[in-house]
Amino acid sequence: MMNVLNFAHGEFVTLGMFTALLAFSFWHTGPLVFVPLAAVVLFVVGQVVYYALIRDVMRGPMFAQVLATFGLLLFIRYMLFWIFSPNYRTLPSTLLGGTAHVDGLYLNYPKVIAAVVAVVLTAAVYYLLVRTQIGSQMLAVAEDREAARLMGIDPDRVQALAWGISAACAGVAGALLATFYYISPDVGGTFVLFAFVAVTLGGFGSVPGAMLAGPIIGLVQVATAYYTSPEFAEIAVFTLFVLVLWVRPQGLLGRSIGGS
Amino acid sequence: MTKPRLALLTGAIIFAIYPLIVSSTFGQRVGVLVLLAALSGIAWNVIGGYAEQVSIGHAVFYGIGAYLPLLYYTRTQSNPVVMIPLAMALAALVALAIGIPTFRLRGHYFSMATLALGQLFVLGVTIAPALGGASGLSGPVEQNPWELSMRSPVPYYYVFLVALALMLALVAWLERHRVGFYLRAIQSSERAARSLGVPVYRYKLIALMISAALTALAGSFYALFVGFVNPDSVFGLLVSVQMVIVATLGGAGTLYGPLLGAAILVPTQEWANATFGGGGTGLSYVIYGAVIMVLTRFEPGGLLGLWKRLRFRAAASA
Amino acid sequence: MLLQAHNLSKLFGGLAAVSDVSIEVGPNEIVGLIGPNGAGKSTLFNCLAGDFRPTRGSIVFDGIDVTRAEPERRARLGIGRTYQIPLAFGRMSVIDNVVVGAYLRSRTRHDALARAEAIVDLVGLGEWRTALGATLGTLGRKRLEIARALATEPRVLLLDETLAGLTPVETQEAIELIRRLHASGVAIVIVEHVMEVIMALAQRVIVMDEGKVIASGSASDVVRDPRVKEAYLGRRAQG
Repeated sequence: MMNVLNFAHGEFVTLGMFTALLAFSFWHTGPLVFVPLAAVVLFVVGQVVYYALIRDVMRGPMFAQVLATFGLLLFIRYMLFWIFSPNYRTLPSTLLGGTAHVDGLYLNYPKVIAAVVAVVLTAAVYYLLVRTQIGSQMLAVAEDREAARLMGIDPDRVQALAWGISAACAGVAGALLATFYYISPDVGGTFVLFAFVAVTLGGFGSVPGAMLAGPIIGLVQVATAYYTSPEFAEIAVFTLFVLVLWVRPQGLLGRSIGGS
Repeated sequence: MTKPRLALLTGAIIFAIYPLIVSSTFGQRVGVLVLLAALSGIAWNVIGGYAEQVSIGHAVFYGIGAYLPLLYYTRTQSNPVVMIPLAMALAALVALAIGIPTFRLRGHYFSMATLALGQLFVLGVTIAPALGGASGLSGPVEQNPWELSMRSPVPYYYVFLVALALMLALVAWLERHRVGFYLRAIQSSERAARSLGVPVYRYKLIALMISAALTALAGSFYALFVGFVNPDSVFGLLVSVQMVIVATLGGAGTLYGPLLGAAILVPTQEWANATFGGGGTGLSYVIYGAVIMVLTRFEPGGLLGLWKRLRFRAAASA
Repeated sequence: MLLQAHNLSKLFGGLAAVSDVSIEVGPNEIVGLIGPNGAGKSTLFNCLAGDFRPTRGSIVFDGIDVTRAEPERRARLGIGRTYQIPLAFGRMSVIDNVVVGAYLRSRTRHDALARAEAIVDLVGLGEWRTALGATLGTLGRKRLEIARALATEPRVLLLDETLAGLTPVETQEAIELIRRLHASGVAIVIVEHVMEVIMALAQRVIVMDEGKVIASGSASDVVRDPRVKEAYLGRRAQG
């Protein structure tokens, strides 16, 4: 939405996971602490990244903009590899309540809670963008930076805020994921590509579209793994991506996008 | 003679006599690797530097170039070299497949698509037993110059050096003629270019196809030099990243930038590997990531860009 | 008639920037297009040039329907344009900028260069041949844009507020240049704010306001038209 694609977004998720891991390992706290903690930490990280890297890169040539966040991706991911080693770790699955047996369905509490939080957060972000003044400021800056400045909006502050919020969301997602998923530095990579697929499928700039696309991708993933084998799942998602690009690049709900 | 010309001539001489003055096999291997990196860097530069369509999955083309000849050899025991032109053509076709849908859209789509395609190929090849799976494929073992299978690195060096010279000549030619002008116009302002009749879409595709074919050539050379390929070594992310860094470190969009980048990066990498041992791979990425960030933040024009800026400032204040 | 727009409308969402506009430009005319800010002049230009697709209506150039044609095709057919904020190729030299345009009509590098050299001299940028586009001042960039568009051998040239931001001396030079262009046989449509310029150059003037054409005729007639005065004065009273 900020017209800058953040390749490193997945790494923010990973950072959220590791924040959770560290908080649990050193202070033995539960999700009630480390989820907000991840949000705060990543909020700061997002702002720092904006001020240190993005702001200046945006003024430069296009190719530098694409590369900068890619460099960030490499840096964060492999720094984590170096520090934590590729070994998978997990948090105890009882942290958020374990599994319940309801009507013949196994309901996994952590996953349910994560899903609920995800939906709530998405709705909150949407509300922020559409209904609040800060939100419309963000949209204004995204549309035309200079015009926004002329209207008295400080584009840097607003964009830094956007980056902070976006990173915080990723951090929360990561922290929640940590409660039921394995923790490893390469988790981010898969997720960022899936996120791209979701955004493309749903339509760039459309939040409802992304909400629609997410479950579709999840479904494709699970179905493929079930009917063929787990390795094919990732391939299926990527193939879906390529197909979408070919057939309907503006996604399901996006506006038509042209060249200039 | 002007300073740049002198520098070029010196560089050319050094490159020409390098294997003669360096007698260790290790040193000669490094030389070959520098040439290979330069070849792939120059190839990437055509689409990434000149046309500024950033591909971070170029390993796809590299891998196609690497796999096809060895696949042919494994199946038929015949000369793998004959498959090289076919590999280049196949790479160009795949390039079309990516370019056609994504070049109509904003630049980010293309970059994303290349990244996704790169991952797709790594995964796809790993699980395909027909393509050697995770264990990979091997090349010819007996010595046969026609199959580019030789014991010493030196003959490889000179073959690749000639290829490098030809590639540089090709890019220089492109620079001076319509393609070069149109690509630079597209990079500056697509909108203005279109108003002057430049077929933007078509030329982006042309640039990508040329880049893909040249990258495949570099991949083929790699496969025949090393004698072995597996999914990670030719389709992996590291391969794509290295191409990007080689080109941007030296100077994206310039003729000699990738060559400079290769000459600096590869020896440093080899030295680091030798000194710090195998655990270095993870660290390489970290350093690469940092280098990319620093470059894009402070000097997107790479080393050559930096040099030009300093020269400008010196001339202005003189 | 060289260039015609029939009942052209361009809507953005619900907003009609251009509403049912019909205009005509003859082979060697200089037509001025004026109107208060937001009247839809640039939008109309962008439709004529191909940057925007009209929502309704059609555009015909030399008998060919170009309503849906891409800008590249229109350039090839003979429509050239400049931009309100000059889009010079900053990292290329002046001569290289013009060569890009020249390649549309030249097959070889040699021809393109020759054509470019001649045009660079024509617009008065001769001594700046090797300067990078980014180093030129405003007038230089505008000249460069004109030179570049000229290299494509247009039959009609759309000049979008070319004289904005120029000093009086520069304005005179620009008027001279445009007169020279006209003399070489090109039809010119020029969007302008400065009335004196329009009076000096335009044979015919079209006035737009709020997306519609409200008056058309010779410069002196249009200036006296009460509707035109109301459009400008009314704006100032509200603004």
